Amino acid sequence: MFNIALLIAKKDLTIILGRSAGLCQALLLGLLLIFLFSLSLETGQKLSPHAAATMFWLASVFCQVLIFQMLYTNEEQNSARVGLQTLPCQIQAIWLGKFFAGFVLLLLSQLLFIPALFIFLSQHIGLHYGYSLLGIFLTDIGICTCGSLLGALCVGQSGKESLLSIIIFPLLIPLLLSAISLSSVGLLDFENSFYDIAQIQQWLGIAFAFDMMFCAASLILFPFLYRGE
Amino acid sequence: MLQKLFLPLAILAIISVAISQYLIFIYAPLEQYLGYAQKIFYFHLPVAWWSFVSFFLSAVFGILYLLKKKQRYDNISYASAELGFVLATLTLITGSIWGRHSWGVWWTWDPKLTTALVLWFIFAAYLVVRTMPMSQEQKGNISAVIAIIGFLDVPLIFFATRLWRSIHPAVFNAEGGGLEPEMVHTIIFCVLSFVFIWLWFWLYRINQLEQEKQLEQIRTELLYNEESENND
Amino acid sequence: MNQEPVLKFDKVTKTFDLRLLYKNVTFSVYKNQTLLITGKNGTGKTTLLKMIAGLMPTSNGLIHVNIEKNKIGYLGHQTFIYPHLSAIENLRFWTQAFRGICISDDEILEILKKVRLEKFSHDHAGIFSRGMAQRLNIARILLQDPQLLLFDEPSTGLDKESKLLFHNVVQEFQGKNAAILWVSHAPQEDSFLASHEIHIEDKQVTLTSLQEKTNGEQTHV
Repeated sequence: MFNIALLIAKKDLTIILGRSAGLCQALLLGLLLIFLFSLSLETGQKLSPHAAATMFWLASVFCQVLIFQMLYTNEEQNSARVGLQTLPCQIQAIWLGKFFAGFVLLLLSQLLFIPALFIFLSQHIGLHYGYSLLGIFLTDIGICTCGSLLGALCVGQSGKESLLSIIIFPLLIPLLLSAISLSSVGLLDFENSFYDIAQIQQWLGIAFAFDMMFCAASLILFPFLYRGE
Repeated sequence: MLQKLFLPLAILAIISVAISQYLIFIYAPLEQYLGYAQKIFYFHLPVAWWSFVSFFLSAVFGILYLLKKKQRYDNISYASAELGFVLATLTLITGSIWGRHSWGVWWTWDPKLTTALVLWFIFAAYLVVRTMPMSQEQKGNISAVIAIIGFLDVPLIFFATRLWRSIHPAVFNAEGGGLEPEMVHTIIFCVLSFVFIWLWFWLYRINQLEQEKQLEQIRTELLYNEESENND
Repeated sequence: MNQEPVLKFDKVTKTFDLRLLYKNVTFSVYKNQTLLITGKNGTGKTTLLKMIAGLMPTSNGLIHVNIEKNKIGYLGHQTFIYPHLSAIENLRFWTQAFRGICISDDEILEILKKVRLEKFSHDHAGIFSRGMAQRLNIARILLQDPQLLLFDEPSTGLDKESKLLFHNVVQEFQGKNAAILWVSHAPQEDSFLASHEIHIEDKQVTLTSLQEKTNGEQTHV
């Protein structure tokens, strides 16, 4: 199962990174969001770390929706999905493969969004960026778990495309609250450099619980979404 | 079979609503700061409770459907989600009106409010899925999955929003608890007696969906028979 | 026949979209048989194949498949081709996924020669015509080397030459003792390769031997 998952991920990364401009669209959308938000700032004004972190995650989540739509529509063109479903392995391998590919693509896009935060929204690195990196890691796992599960139901028919966003955004709310709090800890805040280690741990706990719960739910529920015609 | 229950339930519902009205406007005393605006609370709490129960049942019957693949479970899950959504909408509206009068704002970042709103969003998406052109099985599966993960998400949403609020200063102070005993009696009666209205709607809708499915079945049979006759 | 059946339907009932397709279907398929599945539109021919491939559950009853899952080959009119990958890359992906081994370029090229695509081995499959894409699909199934083949109208939209090529491939599989279940869009063209017929009508599934029938006719003549 693991081998097939890696094989699927490798194939998807070859297609998306090497052969099509798919990821560029997602990246441009994210960058545009961050840039457009900088318009709300007046000259010399600085955005609070909290607001900057919110923008970062907004860009990431939009990007993630596009990534998983791409990953699953790749399988639709010539019904390759049917081929994947007949592979000699658990159907969850497809979920895992898409998860790996999505995770790599999301990390790559975030590598671009982070500098954009410093450039457009004039942020500075704070002392506790370690927590932020851990937070980004845990959040990305959760986002991709959800994306890989729900991406499966948003393929094919027209009208299903926006479905992914409207289902996934509300579900991700607890994770995003945690992500925003953790990311803002890593950004330097001149006015209010207060942080609370106990609270950070609680946020990490929520992110971790989200990851675990949705991993388990995905492994159980994925076959129901990705079988049938 | 379900139809036999409608009339008794309707009668019970009407009686319980009448008693509730008496309790709300005559038995329970007027709140000293909020006045009559506080009365909306006796409507808000029952719809909030029963919407939550409906969403819970939607998830439970979703699980049963995935396990047993019985069309009936899917119908019940669907009926619960629909009823839950209507009640959740009423909850949000009445809650907003109440909040405006007691806290001075239409909306605030409160764990209960946010959880209710997020559930509302998730089940709105659920109802969108229901309108999409898909086979019965697929629709049932997808809807069940959404109901289940939506409900699983509830504790996380609640904890996260509670933790989040402590960062932001609270917009209002916790309301001075301690309701008067008459108010407590009234609210308990209102919540419990709502079961009749709820059951009535719920069973009615389940029955309707079952008949709809039967009609659909007959229709497709006829359609295919006609087609095979044409082919001959 | 004393040998173990490759495939056994045990009182299978299937309802799809609230409609009963068939009830209590029981039959067995053995090695070296080629079964042509016939019936009108909407009688559930493709559904039969999908249930065997594990793409759909049965509503009731069991389907016993006595071979490993990677030995079941599914060849439909859909080609499973990724347009952004080259012919070689497509074949390598599917072969590795089904057999768990990485095969050499030479081996792939040999198969591509068989389906007359060797000149296009490094071209993106997205530029392929319908016939070429389906020949690439046939190459995929050849590399998978299955023992049980499920054909879902694979020769739809193929020109004469490609159809001939496909018939040769079918004969090659028959030579390897594979069992074939075949839904054809043109049964009269393909029936000469079949040994049995599965007919679906009025929610009943019947299995008849074609060879006995033709033999019987010959004796009449």
